Amino acid sequence: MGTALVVTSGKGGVGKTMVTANLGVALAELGKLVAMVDMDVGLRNLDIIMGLENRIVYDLNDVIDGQCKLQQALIMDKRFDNLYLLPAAQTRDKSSITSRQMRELCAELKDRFDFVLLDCPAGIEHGFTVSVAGADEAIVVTTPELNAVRDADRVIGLLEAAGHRNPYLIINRVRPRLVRRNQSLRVQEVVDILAVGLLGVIPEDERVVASMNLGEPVVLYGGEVAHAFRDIARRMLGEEVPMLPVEEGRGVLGALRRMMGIG
Amino acid sequence: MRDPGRPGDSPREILLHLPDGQDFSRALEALDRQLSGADPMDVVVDIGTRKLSTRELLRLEEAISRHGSRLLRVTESPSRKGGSTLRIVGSSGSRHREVVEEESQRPSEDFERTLLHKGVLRAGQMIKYGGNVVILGDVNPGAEVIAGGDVVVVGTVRGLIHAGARGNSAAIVVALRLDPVQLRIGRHFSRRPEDGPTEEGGPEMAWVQDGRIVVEEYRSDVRRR
Ligand SMILES: Nc1ncnc2c1ncn2[C@@H]1O[C@H](COP(=O)(O)OP(=O)(O)OP(=O)(O)O)[C@@H](O)[C@H]1O
Ligand SMILES: [Mg+2]
Repeated sequence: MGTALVVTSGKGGVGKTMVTANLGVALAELGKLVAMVDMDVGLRNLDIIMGLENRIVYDLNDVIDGQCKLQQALIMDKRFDNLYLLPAAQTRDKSSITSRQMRELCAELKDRFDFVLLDCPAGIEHGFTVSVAGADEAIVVTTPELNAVRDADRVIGLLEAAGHRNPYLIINRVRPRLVRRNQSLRVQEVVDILAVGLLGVIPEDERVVASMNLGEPVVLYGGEVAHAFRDIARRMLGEEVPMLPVEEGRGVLGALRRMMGIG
Repeated sequence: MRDPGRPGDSPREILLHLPDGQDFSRALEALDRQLSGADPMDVVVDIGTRKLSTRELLRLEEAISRHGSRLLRVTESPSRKGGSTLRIVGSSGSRHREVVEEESQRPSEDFERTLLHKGVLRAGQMIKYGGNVVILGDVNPGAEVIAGGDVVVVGTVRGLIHAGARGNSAAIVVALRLDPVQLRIGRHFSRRPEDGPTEEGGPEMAWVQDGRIVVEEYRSDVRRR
């Protein structure tokens, strides 16, 4: 029996889909059987990021409506035969899936997969409620900006109310240079405010944008972002992996500034 | 107690009832029918004397947002007698707020009552209580505490606190760290405590002195008035 995790944020555009895709790949690399579900009906893009859009025949709504079997709608990844995508419908009434249907679908997916990753739409409306209903655990994605953190906080409150007592936190698009100039919140400040367990920190990297356009998750490129995702995947499997010091600037200057309390 | 400073904005408000003694799912279906085909509205739901679980609240919200409307508030019919009732009030839409609200039916006793909240009070959450409020956790940006009496926060205050909300300027606010967006005591308010948060260290206390809110290091011998 696998685990279903919802990847959510409140604020849009902070990197839920990017996280879902790369976490899927990183878990698959470790030999886990993974299903990614695109819950963003009407705005689907997980398939594009994975480079799988041309293989879609059936979608999530077809499965729910009984138009096809789950197996027929699942698309196998090009690179990993243990990674699958269940795409969202392109055009559909956004509210046509109920929480109960979602729970049933996730139960079926968990029978077959080790991890089920639900890429949640932005906001806290119906799509959020339904995605959360199907999940055992939640990953909250935020960027180190005040308004994103506030929306994440709101979402964590709602998750708690729905019984998800200990959501995980991923802080995306951390820019060490801005942090050092005090133009961005520090990782520790974000963690202090949200008061939930930190699963990982992902740096800003131009290659993320390029990779998304090419349909090749950035984990496959190597580099710092890839490293961060591989660490996260290992943490999810229960390994103790220390956080990379993404933002601190290891230099003497950084240490000095910290000692003097101006860093 | 009424919401202070909440503008009566928004489109059209409609009041719908969940009749007492009706199974929740039934009541929800009825409400669903009432909303279908209607324009998006701000919906206030009167739950009579029933108590909603969080799950039911989420279902209610889901049912309403399905029609493009949003749940603005949940109210009870005032038929309930005595004591105070804890209830969760929620609304959705872009400015979603989940509110934990406690209101006493007997205001005269409010002053002696204290509400304890364990855990972080998060953005969009609000505690409103006629008596004193103690929070074991932080009050985050976007969260609000409105108390008739004193407010004690065993954590950091980054949100909005209103102590002595019924005009009691003798009320105090104590917190491990005070860094609120806004602090109100009685009828006084300050954007940020004028003395600013003290150096990292001991707990801080805010109270009204000579008509303005001051913040100082908390000392156990400080007495009100
Ligand atoms: N670490 C990063 N470095 C650079 N760019 C990034 C990073 N993470 C995300 N982005 C960029 O941010 C944009 C939004 O990412 P993504 O689509 O994953 O967000 P989302 O939360 O799923 O958005 P939505 O709420 O619309 O579903 C993309 O263009 C992506 O390339
Ligand atoms: Mg997305």
